[in-house]
Amino acid sequence: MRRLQSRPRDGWQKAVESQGLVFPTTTLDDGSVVPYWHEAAYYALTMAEVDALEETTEELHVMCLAAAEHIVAHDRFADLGITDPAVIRAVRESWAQQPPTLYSRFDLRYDGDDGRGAKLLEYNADTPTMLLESAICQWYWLQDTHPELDQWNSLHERLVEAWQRMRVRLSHGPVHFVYAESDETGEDFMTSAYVAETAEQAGLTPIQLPIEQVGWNAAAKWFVDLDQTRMRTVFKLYPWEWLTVEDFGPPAIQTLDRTQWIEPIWKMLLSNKALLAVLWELFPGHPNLLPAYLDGPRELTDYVAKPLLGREGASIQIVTGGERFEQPGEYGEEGYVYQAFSPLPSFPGRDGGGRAVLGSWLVAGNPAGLGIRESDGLVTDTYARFVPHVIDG
Amino acid sequence: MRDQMKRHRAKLLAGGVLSVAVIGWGVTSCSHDDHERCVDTRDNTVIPDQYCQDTSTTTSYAHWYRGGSGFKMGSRVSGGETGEHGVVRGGFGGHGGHGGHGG
Repeated sequence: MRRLQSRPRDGWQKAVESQGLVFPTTTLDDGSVVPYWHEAAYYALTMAEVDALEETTEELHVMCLAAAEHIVAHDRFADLGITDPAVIRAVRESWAQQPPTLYSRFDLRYDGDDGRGAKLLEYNADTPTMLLESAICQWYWLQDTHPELDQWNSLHERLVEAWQRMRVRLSHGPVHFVYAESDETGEDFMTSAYVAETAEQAGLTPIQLPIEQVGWNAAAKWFVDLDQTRMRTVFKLYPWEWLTVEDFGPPAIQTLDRTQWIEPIWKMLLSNKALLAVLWELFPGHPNLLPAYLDGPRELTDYVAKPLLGREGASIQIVTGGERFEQPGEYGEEGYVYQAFSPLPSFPGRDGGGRAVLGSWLVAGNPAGLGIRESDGLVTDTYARFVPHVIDG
Repeated sequence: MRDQMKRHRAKLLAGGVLSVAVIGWGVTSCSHDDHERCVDTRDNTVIPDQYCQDTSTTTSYAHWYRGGSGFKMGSRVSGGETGEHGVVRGGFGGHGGHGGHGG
């Protein structure tokens, strides 16, 4: 994988905004504005690399499902910080029933060699974002700049197809898409709007509303939207670990047979970073895993302490070379996983280059595409930028 | 090498439609249902929300009402639709949005 410089398209910002990206730039703490959508550079992968990364993605997903089965079968919920008996029971039932899932994303460390040595950093299996950029914006960028080349990107088609396949397992009526209205970046709204659009293209009737406005009809024991329409199928861009502890958490758990949530509640097992330690326990030495433990760093001298439910790199601690770096944040009360520190590779460039992390997408459990984010520092945080890619060679 | 064509995409893409939806962000993102009000169905007048939020009973004269005319407390409603009694809102969303860009 190579990082190449590129002249941004004239009017690139308007272009990506017209495709739905509501935050083409990022405002830094000092007030300066930098591109979030960064097309002054792009990554080029060979088809052999993409094939290898695709196989890695498939294999990692199978391993993660095995880890989920292990957690359920061996009652390891406490290791994930899941202690509420009602939640445990709901996760067990959901896992046994295997309701439909739509999508997820692995974050991988990859130094750009032969595609075989990518390392799993985390699994965004419940509420992944960066979807519109990956599925739409970078595809249009490819058409505008390198129409002769290909891209690892069948996200949009696979999402539509997944909804079409899922239809027979959904209740009749509309599908509701809920997002956090208080997300001022617009990312949650944007992502749920995009997923709603893929559902509509599959022939479903989407209704989008803020999760804050979801109503609970206690007499009927069902959730309703703003028109009092019963919510039978709900795509939520809101984590289960939050849903279950809020006021409507108990009724949501009690009525899982009446409202189908996408992603299903068993995805709590995969989106929790304790998964990394369970994977290492089940597949020690696997070439796509880094050593990880729940009870401390053990033999690791250089490691990353990641909050089990952390997001956007917040609250993580990096210990390397005897020094400790800590990201600000409010996570960690739930516990940490300690993973061997393997710094993100730095790809040079005239624009300063960047440290890349691969977002490898799955739709309905199948590899579906790639989105690459770059950061200047060791942590891919909320200031990271999206850089498009091509398949070349 | 696997079939390279499988990664090619159909030309039908979604940007135009989505942009309409997303341009609406800022309007719909603060789309608290200002038009829904609690109504006494015995005389179709607007009453305080607390009566509609009472979940202790399955039958009540207090129902949510959408559309039509009549919005002020005590005014008579007409032309809209009567909804269900006992709907409570605001039980989700206490944690706020879930992140920054691209997470």
